[in-house]
Amino acid sequence: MLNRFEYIKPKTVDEVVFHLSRLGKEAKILAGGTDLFVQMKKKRASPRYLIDVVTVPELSQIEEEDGEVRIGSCVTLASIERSTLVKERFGSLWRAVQGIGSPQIRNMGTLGGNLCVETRCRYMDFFHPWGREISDKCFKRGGNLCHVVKGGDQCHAVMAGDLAGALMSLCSRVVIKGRSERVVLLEDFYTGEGKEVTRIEPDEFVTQIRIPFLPPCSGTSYLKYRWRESLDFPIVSAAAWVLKGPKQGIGEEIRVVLGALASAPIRLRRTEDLLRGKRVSDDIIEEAVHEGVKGIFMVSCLGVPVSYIRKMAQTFAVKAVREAYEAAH
Amino acid sequence: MKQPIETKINGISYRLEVEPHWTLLELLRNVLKLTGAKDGCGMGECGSCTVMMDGRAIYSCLTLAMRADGREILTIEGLAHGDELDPVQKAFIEHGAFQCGYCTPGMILSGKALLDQNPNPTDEEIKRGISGNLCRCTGYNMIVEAIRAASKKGVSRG
Repeated sequence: MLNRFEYIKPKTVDEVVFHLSRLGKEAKILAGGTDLFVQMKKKRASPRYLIDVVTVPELSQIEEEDGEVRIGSCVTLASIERSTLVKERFGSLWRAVQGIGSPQIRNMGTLGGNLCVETRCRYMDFFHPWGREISDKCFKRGGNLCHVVKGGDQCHAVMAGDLAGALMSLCSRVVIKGRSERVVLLEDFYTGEGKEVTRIEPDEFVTQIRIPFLPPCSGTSYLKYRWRESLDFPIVSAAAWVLKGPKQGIGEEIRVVLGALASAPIRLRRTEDLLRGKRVSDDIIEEAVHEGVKGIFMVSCLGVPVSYIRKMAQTFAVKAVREAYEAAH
Repeated sequence: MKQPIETKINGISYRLEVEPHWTLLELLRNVLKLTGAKDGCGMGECGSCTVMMDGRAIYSCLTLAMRADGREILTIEGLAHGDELDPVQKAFIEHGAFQCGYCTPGMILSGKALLDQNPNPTDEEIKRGISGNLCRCTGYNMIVEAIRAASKKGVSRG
């Protein structure tokens, strides 16, 4: 059973903004509902107002403009999956979308919703529902300690949504609308903290995602490692984009992003630096990823040992980079 | 406070008064007594609450009843044409594609939604099509066989 709330169904973006500025933190945006209603049923969220944005026409469009594809935040995952534009231009995004949830989830869930999906946590998701309160309240429940990372000074719940990493590897930007409109790089969209995971203010919401067309000779890849082939969030995900230069085998530009390992997707900048402008081989990729992953702080949200996650992160990052190189021509 | 909605369920138009916090599943089961869609996990994982909204399979346990406003809903009760069962239903019976039957309405509707989009799916596509539905009796082979059989009979007549 869902708690009672007041249901608001605005018709335009301006109306959404009006209601958000009026109601602030008491209101939540309702898109597909596949995550929000689960949180509400588990009594982890109890908004007094729900603002249903799915029927706002401006938010459900896919368009090409100014050298980029602009996808409305309420476009369903199934519509993205069916979009030939996305399939032909952004192979990694298409694969990431295909792997989300199940057909029903993709028919309901939206792009914006996936970027703002609630973070996952071993304590909150597995221990707390069974009524086991270990000791004091954790950050996510309004306390000031973390049960997963001992001595942690912030909430370490994990951002496990598939599209965050895939879109970050494609240099995407997010349009956020409040009293004014701002466009931020997806890299700057996440706080890196598990409780307030995005930088959206209470009176703002996401209206659009903008993905620049890839230059010719680009290759992309997205890999997702999980227990079951449907419904599960990733244990590790890896996204890569490679731009090959005029000289055979040399990658001019590269991006590698790991997902589901921390409160925000992790860009492997060291790996990118080591591979940029180099003639690559399997050994060089492996070495560069090894260097990039080294020292990166990772959290396990599924109860899997971090040492194992680290190995899988390494393995899947190497695979993703290799696939992106192969796809680039 | 209850709010009015207009919706079409299994071909019948309804004007209903619903509470905003009701799920579509609660509306179907508690108010309209259409108990074919099951209340399983309630969290969008098991698929037993699957119904079709405007031709697409959705989880009714995570959909607000308010969302049915202006939409067309199809539940398992509305699938047969009079006494004539839908080909997917027939195929499930012929292939013994259920044991306890709890997942069956959802499985059939997921199969139907798949075949409407893709009348000749491969086995891999059938498995993907029902990947949002769990069968705890694990009778998946027969379910896949039934959907495969229904596809050959050309089910997509709506």
